[in-house]
Amino acid sequence: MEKQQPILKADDLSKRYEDGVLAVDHLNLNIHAGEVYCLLGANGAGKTTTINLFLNFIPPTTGTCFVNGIDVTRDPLEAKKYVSFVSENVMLYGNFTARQNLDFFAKLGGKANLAKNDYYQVMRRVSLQEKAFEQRVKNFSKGMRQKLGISIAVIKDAPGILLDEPTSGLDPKAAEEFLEILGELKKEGKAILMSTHDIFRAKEIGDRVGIMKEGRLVMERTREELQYEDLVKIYIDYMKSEPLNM
Amino acid sequence: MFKEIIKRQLIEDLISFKFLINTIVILCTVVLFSLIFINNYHNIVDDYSRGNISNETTLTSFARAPRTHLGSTALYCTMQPRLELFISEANEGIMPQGFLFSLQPNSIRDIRQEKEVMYTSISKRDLESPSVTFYPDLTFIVQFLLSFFALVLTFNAVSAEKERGTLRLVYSNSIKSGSFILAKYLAAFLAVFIPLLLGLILGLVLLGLFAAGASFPSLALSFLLFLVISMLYLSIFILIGLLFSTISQNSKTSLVLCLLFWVFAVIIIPKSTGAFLNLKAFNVPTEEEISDLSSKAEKSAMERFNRESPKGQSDQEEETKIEMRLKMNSERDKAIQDINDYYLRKKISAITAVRNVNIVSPASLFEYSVSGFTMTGLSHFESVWTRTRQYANEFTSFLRDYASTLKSGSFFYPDEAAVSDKPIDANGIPRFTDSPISSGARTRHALPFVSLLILYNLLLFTVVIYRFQRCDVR
Repeated sequence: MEKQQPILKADDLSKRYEDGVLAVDHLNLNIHAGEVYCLLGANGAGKTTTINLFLNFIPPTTGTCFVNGIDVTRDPLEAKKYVSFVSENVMLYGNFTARQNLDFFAKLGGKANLAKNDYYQVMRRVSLQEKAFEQRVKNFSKGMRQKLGISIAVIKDAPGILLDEPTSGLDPKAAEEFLEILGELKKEGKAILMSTHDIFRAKEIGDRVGIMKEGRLVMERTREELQYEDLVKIYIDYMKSEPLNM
Repeated sequence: MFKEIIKRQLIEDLISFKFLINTIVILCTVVLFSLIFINNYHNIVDDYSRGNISNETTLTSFARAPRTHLGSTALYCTMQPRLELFISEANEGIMPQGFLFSLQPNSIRDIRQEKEVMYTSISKRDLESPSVTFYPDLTFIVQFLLSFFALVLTFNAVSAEKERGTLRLVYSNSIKSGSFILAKYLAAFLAVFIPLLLGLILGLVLLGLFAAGASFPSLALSFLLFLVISMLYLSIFILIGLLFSTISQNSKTSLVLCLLFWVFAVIIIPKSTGAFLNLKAFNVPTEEEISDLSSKAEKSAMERFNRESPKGQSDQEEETKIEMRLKMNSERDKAIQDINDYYLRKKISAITAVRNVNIVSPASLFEYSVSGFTMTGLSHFESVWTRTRQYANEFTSFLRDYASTLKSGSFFYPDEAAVSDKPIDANGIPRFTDSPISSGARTRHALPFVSLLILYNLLLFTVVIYRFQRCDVR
């Protein structure tokens, strides 16, 4: 049986910033439909840079990112049609209500002609309280904003989803709810790349977990492999290990 | 998508507190300025009418008894008040208000010799009851208040998006970088346009009700042109706000840069270079120097007369003496006239030189563009000066033609007793009228400055697009 093409693919991807820092070093990733890939690593390990490269916010030094088979650097506008993004601590437009924010980003994502009820349904799906739908976002808690952020990704309905530390700063209940939504999206066949510091949740939701250190993917384990290994110990060992030679 | 970004930004701007405050301030200022202007306008029209009545009285008296009134034919050739002063006053209130054209007995003799007649510039204090000292105008509102608002509106247009993380979210979609900044620009343009349009409609209605009368259509056209030029000017500030917002690390830095730009472009450059007007850099003589030069010219003519005139008492010598006195008076008047003209020309060239420096400031460019198309201020004064010279020629030509119908020497002669007192037809004497504003003159005066405003916009637009495309959206 022919293997499906990955939705999110990094092919020998490297990024060296102007100050000489090598943020991503020959990274190779293949994330298929219905798969959640968790990238773990300390601050500055290259997780966010990897996501920025997938979104063409910065150009790669070498290598290529593909979204749904489209070269991100060569055709960024086309590639972005197939990917949604949820960032850490997005504030959104504070003077607008949750529905207005959702409506705006849905239209940017190419979803025109949606009715008020369509937005409500999506917000219900991400467990945003009903009374918050028509409230201004500036009064929202971080958890509520993150739910709204994921509803923006849900409404775009793209095959690939990039999440940059989405559970950072969330209380345990909110983080748990967030992971439930991710689980549903995975079942729908979305390919999800999530950068996170949260080892426990990475193990819980991730089909594969990779650890980045100084731009390199130093370890990768499948869910099955992790059943027999202690991810926390592996992670701490890698963090404590000697710096890599660059 | 482009439409969505404009719509969202525009709604955000329109529901913002700063928009509300700005609109209230603009509308209140327009109402206040309109009421002050309407009151002032009626007063300056009265002043102007008094000048016309005085001219009519002078001419009627002169026509009725030329001999009796020969020495008192002083006619006001002043700037006609225009409603466009409400758009741009352009310092017209502190400029010379026109000229006093006088026909002296010796000059009448000169008319036959086809020499120029005398006129002197007159300031506001020379007029009867100068009642107005403060002219509020719409240029001030746009130049100071709305330019500030344009910056306040845009200083964080991009930086705030970075700070709240929405720029990344927006750019995770298929958005062209140029279309995002263009949408921001258009939304800000509309948010600045709305209070300006409301203010102008309000001002036009008030002027239409209380001052304009039959000249309302031409005033409405001037308002429309003003709206266009204002938006060209304000667009520069919108672009500057977007540029600083793009290149700054945060909104605070952008705000500081915007405020510095505003202070330099709107206050320091236009106001400080004007100080050079009083400096010797442009070799503009002071009023005292002009007075000294005039006294010297008079003294020198008198000395020459005393030195060269015959000392005898014979009839022929008396005749020669009179001829020489006439010549001396004529030379003296011509010298004083030349000194006054020189002073005015120097002052105008100094103002022009300052303008040439000031065009680096969009605020000055805007002021010159508006005063150019409304033909107020310097361009109005220059046109009255030209018109006065034309009138002086028309007047002397009329008298010359009239004199040619009389016996030689029986009408124009320095000896008052010998002057004919035969009445002249008063209706036939030419009257001074201020030139109407022609569209050609408007274009000629405004076009160079408007072109520069357009050029500034194009340059800034290119820079903003270029910088934004290199903006780090992370």
